Amino acid sequence: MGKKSCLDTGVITLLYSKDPPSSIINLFRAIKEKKIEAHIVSPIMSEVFYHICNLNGKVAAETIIATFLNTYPIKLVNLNQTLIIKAGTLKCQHYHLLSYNDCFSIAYALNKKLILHTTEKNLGKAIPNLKLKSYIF
Amino acid sequence: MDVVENIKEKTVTITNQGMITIPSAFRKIYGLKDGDKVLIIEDEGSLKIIPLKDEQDLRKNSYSTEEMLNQMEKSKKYEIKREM
Repeated sequence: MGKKSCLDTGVITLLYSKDPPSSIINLFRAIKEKKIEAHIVSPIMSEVFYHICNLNGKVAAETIIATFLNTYPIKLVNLNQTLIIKAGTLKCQHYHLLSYNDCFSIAYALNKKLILHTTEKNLGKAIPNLKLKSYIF
Repeated sequence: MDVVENIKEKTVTITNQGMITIPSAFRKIYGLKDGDKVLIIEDEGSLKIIPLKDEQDLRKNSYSTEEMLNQMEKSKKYEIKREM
């Protein structure tokens, strides 16, 4: 298994855009080839569903989520007490900047010392000890 | 006046190995071929069959990267504003 990483909503959603950026395609190729071990906190997948449903409809969202989870060797992470407390603490500290799902992913990445792959622009400033790979378009 | 003909629902039988046949009219409409995979999930007391598709096909009717980024940014701003 390769480098361990955590994925946020943006990188997954963009994989299913009409014109996915090459950096996103390369990330998921590396995941498929098991050069990167990808972890996703489960509520993130509901947010991906929401964004795709909002744009392309419910049937497209169902097909995309089912196809994604059956195509890539993803480790889906359930919430536990450690994550609930750490994510809640982050939300208290950065309520003006972070969504709940940001907090879950950041909490997991910090605890497991994983790189967080994100399309968010301001996470590095807010959480300086977080290891980030940013995809800015 | 155009008459729209709906596909007829069809009862199928479960074999002793637990298999069912998806009626050909549904296979045609949903582009299901020999060897394709589907996901079966529970949905409020029913079973739902979701076809798995080729990723390139899924992108054909999607939105651009820019449009998706705008949608996500707008949604996050709304969510954070609502929670404050």
